[in-house]
Amino acid sequence: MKEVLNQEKSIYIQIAEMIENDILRDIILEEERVPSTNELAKIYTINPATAAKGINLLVDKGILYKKRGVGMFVTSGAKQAIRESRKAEFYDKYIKSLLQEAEGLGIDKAELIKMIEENTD
Amino acid sequence: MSLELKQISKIYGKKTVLNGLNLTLEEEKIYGLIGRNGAGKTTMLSIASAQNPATAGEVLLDGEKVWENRKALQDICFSRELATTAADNKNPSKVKEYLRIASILYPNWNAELAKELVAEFGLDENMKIYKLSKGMQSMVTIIVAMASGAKYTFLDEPVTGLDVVAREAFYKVLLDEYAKGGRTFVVSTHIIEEAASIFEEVIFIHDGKVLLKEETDELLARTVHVSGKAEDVDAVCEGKKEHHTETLGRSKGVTLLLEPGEELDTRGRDVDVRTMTLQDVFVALCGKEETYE
Amino acid sequence: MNRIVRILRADMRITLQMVLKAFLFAMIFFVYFKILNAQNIQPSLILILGQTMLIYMLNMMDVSQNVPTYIAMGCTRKNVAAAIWARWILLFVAVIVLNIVVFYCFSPDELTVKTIIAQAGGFLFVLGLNCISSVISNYNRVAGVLVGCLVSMVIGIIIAGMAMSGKNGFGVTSIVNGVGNDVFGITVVTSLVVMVIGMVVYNIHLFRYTVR
Repeated sequence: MKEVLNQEKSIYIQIAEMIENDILRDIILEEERVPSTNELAKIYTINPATAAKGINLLVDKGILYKKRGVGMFVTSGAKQAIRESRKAEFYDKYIKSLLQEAEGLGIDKAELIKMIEENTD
Repeated sequence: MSLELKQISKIYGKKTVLNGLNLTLEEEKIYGLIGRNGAGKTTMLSIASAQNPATAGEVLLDGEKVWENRKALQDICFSRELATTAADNKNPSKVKEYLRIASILYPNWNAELAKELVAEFGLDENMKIYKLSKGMQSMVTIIVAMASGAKYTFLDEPVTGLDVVAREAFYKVLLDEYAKGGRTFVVSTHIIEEAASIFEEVIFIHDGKVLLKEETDELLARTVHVSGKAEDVDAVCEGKKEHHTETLGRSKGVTLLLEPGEELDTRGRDVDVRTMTLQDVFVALCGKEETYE
Repeated sequence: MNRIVRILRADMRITLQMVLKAFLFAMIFFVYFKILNAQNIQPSLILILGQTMLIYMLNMMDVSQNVPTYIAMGCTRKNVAAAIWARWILLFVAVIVLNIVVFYCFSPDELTVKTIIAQAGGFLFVLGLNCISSVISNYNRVAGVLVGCLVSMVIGIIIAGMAMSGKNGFGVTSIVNGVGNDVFGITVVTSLVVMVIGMVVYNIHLFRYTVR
């Protein structure tokens, strides 16, 4: 899915995350081909080297692998692997800043837990 | 085959435009050339393509001097503002004549691409060059640059006068040509944010020298903007090189260019640390200090 | 050689234009020649007419068209200079040939070697003058035009003066036929000197040509 790039993170990281999102949403299935660096460069109007960096990031993580002469493919089990690595990052990405913000505003632990309980099933 | 500018100086009378500038350009890259007006971008590109003789220093392509070197010059194309080369009232050339001259003088001219681009930009080939609007002149320079097929191609502010749709078309054409392989592009521009994502490396020109030349990603990864209450900001930034400080009342904002491996310790300090856009980085490094009373 | 041909080919329009100008040149000189020889025209009129035509011809011979374009497109200055020399030679030959043709058609009796040499001399003079004024124009347009006009006026006055003092009346024919071989010689030599100076100056200027 073509999403919009923003300035928050390096572009190559965003590219990697977008591909991971597509895998999680079953837009690209395991053992299917992902767009090539040139295709990505064209779609997002970015330098192919940047696109390549994003792809390499995923190759290093074991999410993608290269089939010589054909292209980059999603590894089996990639979907699960992505979920697990994101779970591990969940605290750093979302909880940590939430706690900092709560502290700055003077919201204590009890209030926080109450907020979560009220808004989940 | 790299293109090297070694200790290039250019002096016009009393004015020094370039001052011992050193730069090496590699094959198959897209470079962004950024600098303030008058920083010397056009002069540098002009010297690099032997259109302008340097006062001192030399330009080498694959180790050979470029000046008056027919072989080397075939691999370099500096497609520049038409006003300098053709839009002279003495010489009422038409667009198609200008393109024809280019097609004969550039050995690797891609006539099909030229034709496609003329159609895509909607140019009237029979128009006289001095009658073209700024935008249309830019289109002609872009066509010459892309169709020249030269190994090292320089474009000086190629999007001047182009509306956003035409600009997007240009970036796509540039990436297409680049994807074919074998070519290096150096694009100087003032519209930094738009073009930032297509530059693999950026070159900042400041005070007649190359201030930095770095991979765009890396540069952006190591620049941060720290803001908050002045004392907190000072504490966090202690020992680090500060560029561009903004002060407003009790608050302070500082741009930091971190060395590889350097980290910020913000524990106990309530400051905002955010990443910056390429444009912000450029203004911080090459702009002026700001204080609001 | 190949590179020079490329430059000439690249700009066929200018090369063809110059040949056309050669024809115009031949016609103008022929008419001027005839007017100068007419007995009932005032000398001052001739001077003015002569200067006007000379200045006009100066513009016709512009050699610096498109030089910045060639250099901007990667030609070496040596190649550009050689291509311009080639144009000059082409033009010169065209002028001589057309001159002969014009005289043969309209005034065959006056078709002598000396007449042709005088015409050729005139052409070379204008060409050299054009080179000088082109180079100066590069730095200061107004100065370039002024120098061109001034020099042509000064030399024009000298030649006209010499012609008027001729025993057989005034006119190019007088110069050519023998008011004095000296006068004829002086005219031709002046033309050659101006031409050589012009071409040398232009070549030097070209070898350091800067497209900023």
